[in-house]
Amino acid sequence: MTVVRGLISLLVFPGALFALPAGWFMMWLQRKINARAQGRIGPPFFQPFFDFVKLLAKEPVVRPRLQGFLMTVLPLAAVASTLGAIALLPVFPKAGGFSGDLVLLVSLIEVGPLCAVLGGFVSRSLYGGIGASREAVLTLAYNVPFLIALFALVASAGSFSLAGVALAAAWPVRVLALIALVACIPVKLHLNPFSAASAEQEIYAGSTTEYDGPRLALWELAHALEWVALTGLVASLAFPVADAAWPVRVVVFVAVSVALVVVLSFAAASTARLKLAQTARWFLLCGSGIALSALVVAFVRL
Amino acid sequence: MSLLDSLVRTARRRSPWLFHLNAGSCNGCDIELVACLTPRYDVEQLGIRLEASPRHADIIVVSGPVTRTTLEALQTVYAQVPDPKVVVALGSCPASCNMFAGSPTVVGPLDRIIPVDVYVPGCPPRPDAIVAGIADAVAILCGDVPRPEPTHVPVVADACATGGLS
Amino acid sequence: MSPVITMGPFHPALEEPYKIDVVCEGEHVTDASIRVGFNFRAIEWLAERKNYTADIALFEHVCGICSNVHTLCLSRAIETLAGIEVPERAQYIRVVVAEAERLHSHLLWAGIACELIGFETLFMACFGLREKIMDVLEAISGNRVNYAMNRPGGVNRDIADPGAVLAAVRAIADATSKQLIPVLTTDATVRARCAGVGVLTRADAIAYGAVGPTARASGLPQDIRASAPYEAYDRLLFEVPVRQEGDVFARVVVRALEILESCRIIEQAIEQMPAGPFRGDDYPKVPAGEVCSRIEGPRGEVFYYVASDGSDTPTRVRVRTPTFANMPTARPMVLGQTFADVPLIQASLDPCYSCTDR
Ligand code: SF4
Repeated sequence: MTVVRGLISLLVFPGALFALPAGWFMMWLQRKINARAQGRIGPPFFQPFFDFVKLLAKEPVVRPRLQGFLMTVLPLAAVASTLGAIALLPVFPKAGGFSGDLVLLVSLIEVGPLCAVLGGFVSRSLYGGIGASREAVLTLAYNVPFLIALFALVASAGSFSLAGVALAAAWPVRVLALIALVACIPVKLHLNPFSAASAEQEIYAGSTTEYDGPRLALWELAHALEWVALTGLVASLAFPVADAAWPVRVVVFVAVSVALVVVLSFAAASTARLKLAQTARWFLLCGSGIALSALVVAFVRL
Repeated sequence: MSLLDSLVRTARRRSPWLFHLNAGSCNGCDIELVACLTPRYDVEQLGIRLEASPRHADIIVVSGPVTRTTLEALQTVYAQVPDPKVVVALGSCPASCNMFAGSPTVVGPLDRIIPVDVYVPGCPPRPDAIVAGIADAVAILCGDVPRPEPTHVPVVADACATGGLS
Repeated sequence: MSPVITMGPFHPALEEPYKIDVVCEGEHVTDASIRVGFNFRAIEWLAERKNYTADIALFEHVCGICSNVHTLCLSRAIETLAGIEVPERAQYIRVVVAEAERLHSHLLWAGIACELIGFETLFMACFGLREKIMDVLEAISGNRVNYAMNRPGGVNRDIADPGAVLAAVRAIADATSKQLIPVLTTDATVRARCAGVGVLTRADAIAYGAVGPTARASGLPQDIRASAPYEAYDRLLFEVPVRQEGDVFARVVVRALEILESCRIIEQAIEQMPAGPFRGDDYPKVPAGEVCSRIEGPRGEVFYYVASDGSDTPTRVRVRTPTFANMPTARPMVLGQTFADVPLIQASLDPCYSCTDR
């Protein structure tokens, strides 16, 4: 039973079959909102899907064997781990197994950015390298508030499972921690104001500069899945509906995720891009400040 | 098979990504290309995106009469764009060298250096004309329209040696 | 070993091909140099082989952003040589077109600057606003870029519908003062990226001979329109905005205020414009001699030198563009800044390498 459940959550919901279209939809929604905020019409609904298919159908550039291998494996690893993270999201809380294990989920989410860093370096392009090192700095910076906030939630709920946290965490802690978590999402998704890692005007396309055709398609795929994983993480923490009927849970999960995309897109459309040092400073001071206060509140209430 | 084929064609038609290369233009064409992205023309509706890296591009848009100093970079970029790719010559400059014909530092026109598929005439062409030109390029890209025969066998060394059209 | 990062010649931040070699310690810039010449089309060489009529068309294409400035300066040089008076209406039309061009150039620049700090929404807003002035220019001249308005002895076309020009200009002034300037000056992320970045001190501005908005943002109140008025500028009221800070933010503010001043100038010019002819009847004969001519372009002082031997072809045309004067100031600006600021700082000069290379 657990195996079937596990497979379903990996392949159907919230896994591949749901996450792929959902990721593309979120990417489209972000671009569309951005365009509307700028007084444009924006891309058609199927745009991310067509982008993906077109990239897959391009002829790959011939590369030296090891480099070509790494440049394919790294984005694949990013896709696989993010998909794994999505499968762990506790939309069905009693699924057993590792479902909803917070530690495993967070480490899987971290694999994606790590692959992007490595991927930038192995592409042996100067700009890929700079993009990768920026990505690395940012990963370090936002992980401080990200982990503290999660820890505050865990401490408050006394549980390492997502569902447990979602049910038991005290509301003041939860609100503070969620603010810190949401602030971390734009970095991972390369959205303004924390998009220094993909600053097109400075370093071409950052770590993916040298990636072409199918290899780039894999990065795009990983990116789409990251949207689902991150918004899903927040969504499953924000609204504890674990004891409701499963259709209600699914609807709430999807609705909150989409609402989050809307909020993030508007924030991105109305800000400029902060510099690397400014971003890092923001996360180490403000971001961590919020997360720490969540932690303090959690301990005070214990 | 044919289903997959038509899916790929549709995807190519709906997602052309451009790389813009300024080979010594006067900026006139370049700002009109940028104007295509802005609210009035908004080519993102058609899935068109201006990409920063040639590795991501499907269509190379070249403006300018090709100066000696940009020649090498032009060839590198052309080689970097993965197949299938289409070249659009933007403006009169890459088509004929415009009023710069005869200059010792100009090695164009463009079709002497790389094969050109679509010409967008004008000095500069209006954004509407540019969008129409990209649409032609997309038709070639997805195979609706056959690729035109190259007008020249690209003879780069020759163009360099004679120093342009004379 | 500090790595040298070469930006260019084709780089998304650069509208035009040129190279910047940036020496970096981590993200900090310790040295920088600019290499130009990618747009070198030997225009001055070509000019010596074409007659004056063809030269006007040729110099129109020195630069697509400030094309009118080049033909105006060359026409004025030829007029001085040949001793022709320009009809008064033509003088006003020239002012209107020149200021409309300044509007489109400054809005373009503001857009690019926003794009460089990653503020895409504002980029779109600037370009959306710019379309209004492009419509005006198209209505006047028949083309959106490269207007072919100037000729020795006048202008090629009259302004048929001054009311439409006025309406568009008022709309732009309104949007600039109510939307653009407030967002640019108060948005926290814009300030974080621009204030205190890329400072050019007054002393450096003098030492490097900076011109135009770059100089005016460093506290040098110099503007050819005010100090050596040409065409109808002596009959029009306008101010020269000056800021003391010398950073990117000051250059943003100076240009934004200049947009408002240009709107003011156009409004006055349209209102004062007298009736009458707008060009001389036949093409002048150019006697032997040499002459200098300078005017204020959107980017600063444009200088032309023309030498003639009495034939229909000039023996020498020399162009000094504002970017040529401003380019070296990029070095003191970027030293000690972060790599992420380099594109913004060099763009804050509003460089035009197509002009500079010719
Ligand atoms: S075609 Fe005309 S507008 Fe375009 S780059 Fe050439 S001269 Fe400039």
